Amino acid sequence: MKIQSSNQGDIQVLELSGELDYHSSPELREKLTELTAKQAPKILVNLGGVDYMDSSGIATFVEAFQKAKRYQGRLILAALTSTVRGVFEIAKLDSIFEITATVAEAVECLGAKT
Amino acid sequence: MLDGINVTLPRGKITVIMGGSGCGKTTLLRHLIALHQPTSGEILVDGKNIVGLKEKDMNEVRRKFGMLFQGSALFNSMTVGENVAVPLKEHTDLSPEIIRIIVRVKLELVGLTGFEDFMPHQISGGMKKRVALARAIALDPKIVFYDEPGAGLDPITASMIDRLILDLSKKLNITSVVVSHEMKSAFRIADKIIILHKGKVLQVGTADEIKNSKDSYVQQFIHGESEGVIPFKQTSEAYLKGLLST
Amino acid sequence: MKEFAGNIGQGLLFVLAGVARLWELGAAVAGYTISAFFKKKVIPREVLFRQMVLIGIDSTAIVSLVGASVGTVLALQAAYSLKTFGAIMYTGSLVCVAMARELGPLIASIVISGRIGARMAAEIGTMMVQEEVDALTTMGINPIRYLVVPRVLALALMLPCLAVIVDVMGMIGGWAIGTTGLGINSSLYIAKSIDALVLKDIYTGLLKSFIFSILIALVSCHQGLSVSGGADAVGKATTQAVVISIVLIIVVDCLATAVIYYALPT
Repeated sequence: MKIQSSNQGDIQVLELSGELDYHSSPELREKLTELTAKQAPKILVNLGGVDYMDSSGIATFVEAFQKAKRYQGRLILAALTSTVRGVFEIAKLDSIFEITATVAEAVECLGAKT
Repeated sequence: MLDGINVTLPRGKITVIMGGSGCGKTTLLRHLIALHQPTSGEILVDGKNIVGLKEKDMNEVRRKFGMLFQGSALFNSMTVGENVAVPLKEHTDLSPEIIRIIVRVKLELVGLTGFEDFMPHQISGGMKKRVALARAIALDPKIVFYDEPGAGLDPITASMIDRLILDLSKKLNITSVVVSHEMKSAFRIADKIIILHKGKVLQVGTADEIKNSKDSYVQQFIHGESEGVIPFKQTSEAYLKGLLST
Repeated sequence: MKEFAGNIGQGLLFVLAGVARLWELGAAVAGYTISAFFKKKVIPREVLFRQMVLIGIDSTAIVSLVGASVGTVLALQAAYSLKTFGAIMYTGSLVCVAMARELGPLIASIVISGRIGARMAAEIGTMMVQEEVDALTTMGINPIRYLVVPRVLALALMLPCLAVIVDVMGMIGGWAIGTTGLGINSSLYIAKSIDALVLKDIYTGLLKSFIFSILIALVSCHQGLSVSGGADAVGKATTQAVVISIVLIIVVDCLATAVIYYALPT
């Protein structure tokens, strides 16, 4: 799995591609913990390139979501493939996370200040 | 015990193996997960023969498997949460916090949120079965085997488990192999039904094909009649001989 | 006659087969233990610690009681014989040496084979019956690595400790009866004990208890793993585990003592 991080105004963007499974999720966790530790207010995770995700991926997002919530930060997941969405749905977590269909929508939702 | 079995279990679909007690259903299942080794023949998983594999290679294959045992087979010395965490702790390097979240998600999936700290002897049989299912899917297996998932459960819990099997299969593309003798549940979930009789495959087909089967044993079986090709009042010669010769 | 010879042969074969299976299990356990130094996650730590608590801490009270009683009895019996030579003040030396060299490890092992060996066999046997061992196998977890290795290690670590507790309690028991019941001067008793005791007595005792611990754990786990069937099979395995452990402990003790006596003279 590849993780690319960038900034879009005050939004921290993580772009993932490949398979998010229990081999690769610790790497993602490290990145997300880094962001939540410095209390990044807006985090956008682009999952467009992720064709497979397992429960460890979900758990990693849940943990980051909990941490972000504690300091009133926001975490948005964007551009989920149908398989990945299925994983969220089956874990009954699709309603808790902020999920948007496209990256542009997510940026709009977060109200980027450029 | 089993002879001339040649079946395929389609990927991402639910296959139900049916038959009366002692027909070899469970034996077939135990061969599929390599708890028993066949005396001859092959078992192909993803095109790879698993018969006679070395333990290390077999364990690699088993990582794709999840198995729900008939009697739940929970570890009695551990709490419910620890039970679900066993495969995660053993096979992954995930941190304890992440494992705790995964365990919660899996327990919610089977409707047992908040039961992490209970011991297996403190919960009912139906709950144990659901915990066992949570443990079976802890590592997101590609193939899940169910040995009598509905046995000993009330109809509501049983149909909940059926629903779960359907959900897992449809949404996550998991291949499911269910051993069962409950017709209702089989017709509800099966993409493919295999009927075993006396260690041989009697019929293979979709639910509708089985319902409209011409085979009289199949008809007797699905309607649950006591009278049919296998009469209830079957008086075996051995029985009469044994009684009368003394 | 022929039948008799046949029976003996069959019995011998049975014993040899058992020894071979134990050896096989022991080799597997040793293999995993060695590989634990190079790989992570070979030994499940929680299981190991749970067993150590169960064996060590929970057994302390009972082995202390037994140790003290044995020490007392030993002192009384020794005094009875020593009195005829007018050497009653040597009671302390005798009790201390006998406890450290022989009785400490032996008594601790016998108590533990009844308490822990039986438990191991029953627990693993029940896990066999309830398909829990099969569940481990289908999860790709080797039951020997997950169940047997931590039990063997826990016992190997804890039994020498328990043997020391028995030694000390036995010495205290002997001292108590010696100074009160037998009228030996307390400081004389202690001085004579310390004079008689050498380091070799202690480490040979510990070595013995280590060997016994491996025997008990292997025999008990092996009995547990060979259970098939139901509750009666578990019961049988439990009894067998204790009986075989105790017999093996005494036979091996006999051999070990002979070896130590002849090969390691003071």
